[in-house]
Amino acid sequence: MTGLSIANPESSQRTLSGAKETSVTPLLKVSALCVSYDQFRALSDIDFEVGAGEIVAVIGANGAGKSTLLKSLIGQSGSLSGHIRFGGKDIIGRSTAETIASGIALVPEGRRLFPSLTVDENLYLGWETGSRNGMTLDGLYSEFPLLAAMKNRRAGQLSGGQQQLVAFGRALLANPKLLLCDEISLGLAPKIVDELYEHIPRIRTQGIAIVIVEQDVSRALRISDRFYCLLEGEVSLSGRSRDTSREAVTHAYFGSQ
Amino acid sequence: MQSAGDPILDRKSLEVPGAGLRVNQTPVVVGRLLLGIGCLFLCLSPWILDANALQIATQFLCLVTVALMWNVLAGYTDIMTLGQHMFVGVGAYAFFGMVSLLGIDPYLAIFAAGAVALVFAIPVMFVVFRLRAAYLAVGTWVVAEVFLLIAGRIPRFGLGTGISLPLSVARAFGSDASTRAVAVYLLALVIAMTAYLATWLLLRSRLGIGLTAIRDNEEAASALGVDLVKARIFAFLWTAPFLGMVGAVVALQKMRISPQASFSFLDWTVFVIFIVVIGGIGSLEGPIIGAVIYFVLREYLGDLGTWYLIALGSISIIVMLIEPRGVWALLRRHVGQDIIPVSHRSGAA
Amino acid sequence: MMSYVLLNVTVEGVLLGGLYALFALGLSFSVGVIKLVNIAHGDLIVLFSFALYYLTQPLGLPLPVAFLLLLPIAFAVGYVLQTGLLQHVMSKGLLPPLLVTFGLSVIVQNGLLEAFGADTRSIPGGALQTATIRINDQLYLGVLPVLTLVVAISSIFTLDLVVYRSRFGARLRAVADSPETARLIGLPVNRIYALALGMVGATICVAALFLGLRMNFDPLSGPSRLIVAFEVIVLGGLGNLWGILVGAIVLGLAQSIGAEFDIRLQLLAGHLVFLLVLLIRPQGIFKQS
Repeated sequence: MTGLSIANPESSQRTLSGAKETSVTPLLKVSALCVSYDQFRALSDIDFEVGAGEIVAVIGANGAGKSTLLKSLIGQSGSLSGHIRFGGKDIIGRSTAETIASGIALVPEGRRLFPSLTVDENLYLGWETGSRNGMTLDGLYSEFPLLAAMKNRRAGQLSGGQQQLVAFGRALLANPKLLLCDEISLGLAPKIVDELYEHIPRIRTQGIAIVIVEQDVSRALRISDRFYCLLEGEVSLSGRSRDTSREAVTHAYFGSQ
Repeated sequence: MQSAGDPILDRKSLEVPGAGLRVNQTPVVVGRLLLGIGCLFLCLSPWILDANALQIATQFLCLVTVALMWNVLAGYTDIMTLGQHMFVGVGAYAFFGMVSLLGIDPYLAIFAAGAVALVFAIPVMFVVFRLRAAYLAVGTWVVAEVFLLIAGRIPRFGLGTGISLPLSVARAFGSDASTRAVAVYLLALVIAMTAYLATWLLLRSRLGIGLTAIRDNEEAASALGVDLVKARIFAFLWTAPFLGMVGAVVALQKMRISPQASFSFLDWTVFVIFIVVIGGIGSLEGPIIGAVIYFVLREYLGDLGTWYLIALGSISIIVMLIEPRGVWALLRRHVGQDIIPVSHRSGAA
Repeated sequence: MMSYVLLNVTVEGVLLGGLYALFALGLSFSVGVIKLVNIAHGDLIVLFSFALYYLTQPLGLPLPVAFLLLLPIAFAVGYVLQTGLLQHVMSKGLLPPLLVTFGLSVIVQNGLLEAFGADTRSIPGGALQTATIRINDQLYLGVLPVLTLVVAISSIFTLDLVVYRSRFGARLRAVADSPETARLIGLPVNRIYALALGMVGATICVAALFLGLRMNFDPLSGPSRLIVAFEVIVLGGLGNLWGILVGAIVLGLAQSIGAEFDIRLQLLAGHLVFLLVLLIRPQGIFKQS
């Protein structure tokens, strides 16, 4: 917890130049990461970086390893080798609870709320397991009046879009320095996804770095500063989102034929 | 199992026994030789063993059969039953009813007892399958209790204290005690071998491959089209006749039926579960190994009834913690293949 | 005359239900939160009954003191059982936890046999066991059974408060909804399970107290308590704490009515009603919440 405060004075003032290596230690630095489940190698030799306040997209076909990457960051994947450094410290081997308390929060694939708990209770649990410095439940409610309106409803009774918002709020309440969003557009109408995505830049202005895993490549590239494309467990392409050609992305996404 | 040339696989997979590499064949051959010798020994036992030892051998065969049946349910369909002693009891009582009250030929009655158990299994299954997993387990226990209680209320069957089989039945199996012991033993042997042979063929059949798939991964099996419901029903009904026949043999051996003895939870559920758990769930070799261990332990600890059970219970727990597939799984890592081959590709897992 | 019998049978059944609700409380809680059916549940109740017996009889402690001494120990036993044993098998599939608790059941039974012998015991409660409340000339209620029912109701009430209206309860319900999701957001799932099983241990101690006071017990009585608890849960429907009380009373009534015909029919009557309800309504008497 010592070390980086939420607004890192150095990186928040620079626009990211697009160099893959930032000149200050990035908030998150993954090197040579390999993840296996039993005999199945899910990720091979991944190098991955996120600077404070950056928005980084991770794209790739189903099964490419995107979710595995996010889960491995919080300690919820198979056997790991390599390095994951967060805030300068190696976090492989830390428990998920420790990692979340030290500033990484996940908006899981498929929302993953607790259906029999109320929205308020779901959100509270997010706050309780987080770093607890900063936003409280009341703060979240004033920023997201929609959430306040449904706070006593059971999470299982909400629509997909409402659930996604709650899952978002739950992760934000953990007061993370790094927010991981796993396929938040899945199963939602485009209009609702648009509304959700409007929150992303707002969150960034608070100094929170965001990793977005997205099926929708255009949306992912539009919102992010940099991106990584995964193919069969490896990084096939990475770079600045605005500077990379559509052709290059398509090649990297599907693998050169 | 993927071939060794697959780039996605971690290198470790090549060390898995049966992944297609040449495995040392000696342990398998030795294992099969041992099994063959064991079978031969069992067939020749009436001439080798004395009456006492023959009794123990009969018990061994009965236990192995019942253990195999519990294993079919627990090891291949994930159904843990705590009530299979009810079918053993039904077999015993049916046998008595047939020979004593209906005058049916005793040899026939042994096998008919199996049929009666099967008939009872159908309604039991209907009731019990309304529950899942742990609930099903305790549910079968409750139904077994009901059987036990009802059996104890039937006057013709001796009520709560039970009743002895008429001597004429004993004489039908031989004119003196040792001939009878041999006859009973051979019956148990036939039943055990039939049970093993039939179950082996079942597991090699299309239905059985489905069962093995369920054992390995229920979700995947279901996704591949294995009908889980049918498989469970079939497996449950499959075990009943063999359990019933064992019950008949046991009744014959003791020349007596009674609720507590015929529907014995200890003999036909507690010990059986320990045998399968320790020997190895989900394999054909497991029950045999477990039964051997059971009898060996009984030799040394059997007199200390409570400590014997505490030991069995503790070993079961330790097995579950260390290697849930039992002693056989530990051995198999060195042997590399099934000794009783169930799959159709030699060398496959 | 008939109504007198009916009234007594009903009262007996309801009061018996109070005791059965206590048996079932711990099991229902562990099934609901940890998804564990503890085969050794009944045996653990008997274990603590023996512990109470031992503390009060040979050691001569007053019953309330013995109970208060055992309560935290029971909590600890549940906690350690989870962290030391069950935690390591819960991820291994459906069967291993069942088989482990099965082995535990046999070990506890035989351990008790070794320690105390096969004789049946009971915990002497003095005046508590014989006192009655007079309702009218025809109806006397035993103080102990009434107390049991009161304790059962208050226990359910307390548990309801803890589970559904407290922050800690939110954690319990979260873990019951989905342990995987709970892990993803950083909840200490194993610790929560352990605390839950500790609470189960405490309820087991309470059940043991009233079991010992109201009934005889011996080292092998565990399974029949488990079956009672199990039948109560299935009758009352899962997920509903107050359903435990309803299920327990239904079972108590069934047994009481059966006993009225013939004392040896008591258990059978209970089982048959259970099977009947199972056939007609497998989800229990209460609608699923």
